[in-house]
Amino acid sequence: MRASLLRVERLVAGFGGNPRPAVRGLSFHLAAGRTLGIVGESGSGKSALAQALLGILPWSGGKVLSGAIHFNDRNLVSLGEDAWQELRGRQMTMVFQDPMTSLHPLEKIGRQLERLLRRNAGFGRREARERCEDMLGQMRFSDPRRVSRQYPAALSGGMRQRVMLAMALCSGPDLLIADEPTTALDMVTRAAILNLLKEQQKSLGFAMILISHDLGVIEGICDDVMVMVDGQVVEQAPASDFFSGPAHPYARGLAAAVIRPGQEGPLPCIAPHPAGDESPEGCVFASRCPSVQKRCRTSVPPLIPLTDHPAHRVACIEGG
Amino acid sequence: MADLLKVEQLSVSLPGNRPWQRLPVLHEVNLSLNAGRTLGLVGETGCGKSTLARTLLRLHRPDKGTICYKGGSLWPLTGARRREFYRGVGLVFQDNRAALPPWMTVEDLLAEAWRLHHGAPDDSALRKRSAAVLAEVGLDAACLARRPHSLSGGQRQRVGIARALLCDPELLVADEPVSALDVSVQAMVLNLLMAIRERRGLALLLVSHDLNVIEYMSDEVAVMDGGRIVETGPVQEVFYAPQSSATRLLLRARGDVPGG
Repeated sequence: MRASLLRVERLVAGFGGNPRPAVRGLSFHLAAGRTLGIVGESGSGKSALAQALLGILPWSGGKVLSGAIHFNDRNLVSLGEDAWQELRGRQMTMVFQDPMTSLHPLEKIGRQLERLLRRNAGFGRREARERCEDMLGQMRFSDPRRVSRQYPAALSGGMRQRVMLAMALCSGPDLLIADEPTTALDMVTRAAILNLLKEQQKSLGFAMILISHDLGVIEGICDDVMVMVDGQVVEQAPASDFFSGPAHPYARGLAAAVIRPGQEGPLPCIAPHPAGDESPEGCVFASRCPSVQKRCRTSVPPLIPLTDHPAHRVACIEGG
Repeated sequence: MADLLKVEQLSVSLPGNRPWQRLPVLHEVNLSLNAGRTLGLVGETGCGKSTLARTLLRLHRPDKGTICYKGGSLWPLTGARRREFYRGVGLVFQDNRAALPPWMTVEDLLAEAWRLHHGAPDDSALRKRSAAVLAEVGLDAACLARRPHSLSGGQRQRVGIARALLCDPELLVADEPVSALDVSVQAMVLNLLMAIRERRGLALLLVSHDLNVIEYMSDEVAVMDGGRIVETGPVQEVFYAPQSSATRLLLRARGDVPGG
């Protein structure tokens, strides 16, 4: 196994106003060139985790409370903003859900991309211009020159997301963090973006963290899967193992709720969060679990490997 | 059975970048929806689905063609027929965070909707009615005092549906009602829409880019591409024996991204 590019250890991160941290004791690692998919419902802390990894948690009033993030053998938690500026956008880049708000509306695509090429990849003015059209061409724009002269408003959602991708990849990053990159797109565009991501990863070799609530997206593109509930990891597995048999009751419920072609009858779904339930002790899923037992409410199940699949780890007294 | 909604040769254009420009968006669209049936509207982003839905709600004025609701044209629409139309059509939006004003409590939201259609409400009767529609969407009356931001995405979408149901519509127009929600919540909201539709005998116009959602919910489906309806018919026929290349493209994309 290759050395870890990213190693997160017992990370706890939260937002000022909320006494309960959004990310509670998370550990995982990611090898160079691999893709990790993170699944979880809204409010499970996926995006807070992404923000913590990118060092942008303070921008939305949050903070890493304890734990460590090792990236290329450096602990990022203690990094100052200057050092973050060096790292972010260069070795570690990101693509967000909303391509409408991520691009500057008053500046042409070419200028935005050229600036990044000069700042993050160290190109001169002329090189940056040439490279810019190159990058856009790689993102499968049929007429890169034309696109570089357009404003973001003239592009469709899928096109904007491809521009975002060009920006994220122009510095040759080691790690790309994509937070719901296709959620705002229709199915045809989504398939195109995912194929593009896969293809770029193959040629450039970056590692990727893909955050999504869409199991279809995760299945199509990830090597490993991590399922989060309420700020904690409840299941970790290679994607093939996970999709052939999710083990945690939450993950099973999620897989069952996906509508399949030809489906009839009521759809199975997971019970929503009961109001005011903070479950201070016990399993995070206990109050909603269909197969809950007495001891689920008193002790937190550790993340342990399944007996026949050592790489597949589940935090459940049933599954373990 | 008479058509609840019938659209003939509808063409719509929207304002362009310059004041004198008009962008043609819909071209000679024909469509009909019977009482109690569900019509799914699918297509890629930008194909005109939402513009069509909005035009059916009189939010855009057509250039050509007619839209009839219960046999009467929507243009012009005045007096009692106008009130009847707006009361008879409920709306559910994709982005319920934007669709529900954050400063209003759920009770205010519902009262506002009632006031628009029926004038000043009788407080106790309205409260009773509000609690009843909330119960219908699976929320308890305690939600009346909450504001939208303190609810989860799924709960907010339920409030949106409750608001749409408040005045007993015959037609519900839902534009991407579940695409902002995660799968389990999506399943819950779809189950709810199905149950309400059965119970009330509602007609539903469902706009979505998700073919699985459309297939699951709809009786008939209309596939749009470039502002035209390129294929229409019972969902089984269209999805299992597609005739147009646009439909085949959509179905292939569904294969590329399983689930979702």
